[in-house]
Amino acid sequence: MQLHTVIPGADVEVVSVGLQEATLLRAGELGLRVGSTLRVLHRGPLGARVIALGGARLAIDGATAAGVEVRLRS
Amino acid sequence: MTASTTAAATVLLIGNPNAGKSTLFGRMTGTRARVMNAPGTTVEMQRGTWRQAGEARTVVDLPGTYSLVARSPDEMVVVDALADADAIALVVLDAAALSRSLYLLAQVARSGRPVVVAVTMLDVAREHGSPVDLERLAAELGVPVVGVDPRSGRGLDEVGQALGRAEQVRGVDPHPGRQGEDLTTRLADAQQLFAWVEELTSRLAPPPEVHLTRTDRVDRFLLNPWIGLPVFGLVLWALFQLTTAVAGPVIDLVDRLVSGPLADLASSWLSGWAPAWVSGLLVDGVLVGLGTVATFLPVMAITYLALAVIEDSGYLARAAYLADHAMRVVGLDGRAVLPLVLGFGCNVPALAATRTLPGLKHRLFTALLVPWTSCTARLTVYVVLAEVVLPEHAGLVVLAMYVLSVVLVLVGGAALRLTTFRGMRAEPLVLVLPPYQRPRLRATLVSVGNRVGAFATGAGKVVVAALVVVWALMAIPAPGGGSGEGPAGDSLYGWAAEAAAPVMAPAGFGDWHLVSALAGGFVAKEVVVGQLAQAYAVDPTAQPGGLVSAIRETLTATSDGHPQAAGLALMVFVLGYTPCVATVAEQRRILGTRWTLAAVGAQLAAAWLLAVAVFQVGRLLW
Repeated sequence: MQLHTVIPGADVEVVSVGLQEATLLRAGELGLRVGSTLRVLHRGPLGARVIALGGARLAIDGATAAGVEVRLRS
Repeated sequence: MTASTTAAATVLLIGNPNAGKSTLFGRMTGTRARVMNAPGTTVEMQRGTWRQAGEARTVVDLPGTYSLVARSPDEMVVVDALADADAIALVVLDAAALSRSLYLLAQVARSGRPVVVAVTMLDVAREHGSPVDLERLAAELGVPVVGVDPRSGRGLDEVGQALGRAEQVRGVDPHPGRQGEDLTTRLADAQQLFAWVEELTSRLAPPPEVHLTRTDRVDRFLLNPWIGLPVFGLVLWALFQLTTAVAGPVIDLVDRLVSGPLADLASSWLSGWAPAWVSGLLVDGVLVGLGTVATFLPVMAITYLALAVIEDSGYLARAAYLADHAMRVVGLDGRAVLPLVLGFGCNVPALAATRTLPGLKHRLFTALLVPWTSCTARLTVYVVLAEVVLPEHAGLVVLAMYVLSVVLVLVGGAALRLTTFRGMRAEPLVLVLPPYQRPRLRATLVSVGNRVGAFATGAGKVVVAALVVVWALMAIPAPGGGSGEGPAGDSLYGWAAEAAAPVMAPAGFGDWHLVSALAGGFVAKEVVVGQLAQAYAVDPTAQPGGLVSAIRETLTATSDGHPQAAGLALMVFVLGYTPCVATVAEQRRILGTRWTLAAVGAQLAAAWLLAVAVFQVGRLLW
């Protein structure tokens, strides 16, 4: 499933990040990388999401969130 | 590296935004700091002196960054600063976002600079259940690691002592000069550094769990569009009020003080010994110029303070997230909403607010659009001219100017994206939301003082120079005696206005009274109505309708009987052309001379074209 469809409160693991190189690098630098575990905290318009990566919080627009493939953690 | 070789070394403060770097800098340098542009750029950084244990060190507070893969001038400034062979990098790690901070540290390590690490937010990390073991971290990194509290200054003495023991980070091979490499290679290098960070953090502590914080509970409301957007609207309204209603009386007070008692005092002091032209130059040129700069200082201080509070509290990032979708229409990041809204109050602080934008390209783009947001000073001109255009619907005409202002920003933005900023689009939003925090009063006030000082000295020179030129034009008699109508008509200023008037003929207002007032509007839009009254020798307060009648009469003559179309064209010109000399001076400070001259030229050309179009179409209707 893609990150922009995940409902707030769900814990997920990043499976793949299909973004352009520059965005892929910036997302990785901020902690959004393959293997990262995160929790979706809030949702915004058009698929935008606010996620928690440990103690850090990231806001991501809908188009970028749609490029992040995740799987639910049990 | 030995203590003797590092004794005079410059300390470069490097860290993620909101890691506490600037607070730490404020603690180190107190008020002994100044805001300056990085060499060859318009990126602001602070430089100060840190006196510690009898030793004075230069400390540079570099722009906060998440990466040294430089994609913005801010990041490039950090990369360039690290090339200084004598510098020590004091890297500030945020314990609450350790992985992200360690990645930046790894990149600094690539530069080969000796490093000391200062760890902040230790209490927050403990609350999150992921405390940082400083001794273990120091052992892993092989560099001095000191826990600090930037707010209280705790740990600063230890940092001072540690600077003499700065070392290169263990486990990361130095590899300076990577900036020239392509993005694919940089991405591959970043993957290596990610792996180093993950290995290191796994040895230090188990992966941090997500704990819901007070910030998360507040964000549940503030990031919910149904609640967050109205709250955001309220914040924008409050900002607008601060820069207009609150700053207004202070501006008036400063204005009255300078043009009244101060001018009188200077005149009487000079009258005893100075020739009349020296007195005129100093009082009507230099003092009026300094007074103009002084009137802007309160509004600049209020704006900088309000922006610092919004940014420091953590709300700015939320505002950017909420406004992001709407701002993408203009091709900008959500953060651009602040300067563009502030511009409707006053363009000068709005330009100052562009510093909150992340990249130079977006700052440039926004700073070029700000002058088209219709500031309140233009309203005084609209009110008079609307009476000429449609007296029975004057309010509607004024409202139309504000609608046109928004259209100009949108069309201007689209035109810039098709030409100079070809290919520019809103960057994907991947934005760190810092925890809410109480704004740092001391650091904020020092920063506001520094920025206001930088405005006064940077923009002030241009404003004073421009007003001295205007004074000289007014003081020099016109060749052949001029029109003889009032003091302006007798001067070189009036003569030049008469010579320039035919340029405005296609827009229906080719008349020296109007052109001389528009030229005065280049200094400040507030003076346009006064200059019109002076040119027509009419007292607008004694005869409210007199000025409107005089303008209507002139426009009837210059437009072949289409005064309404000409009046509307004049209003559009007032909206479109250069707002005031203070805006130009601030633009020059932010954009540089070349961009500013181009912007002034483009605004004049666009204003003239629009005015001509409005008149030529309008004369067919009226």
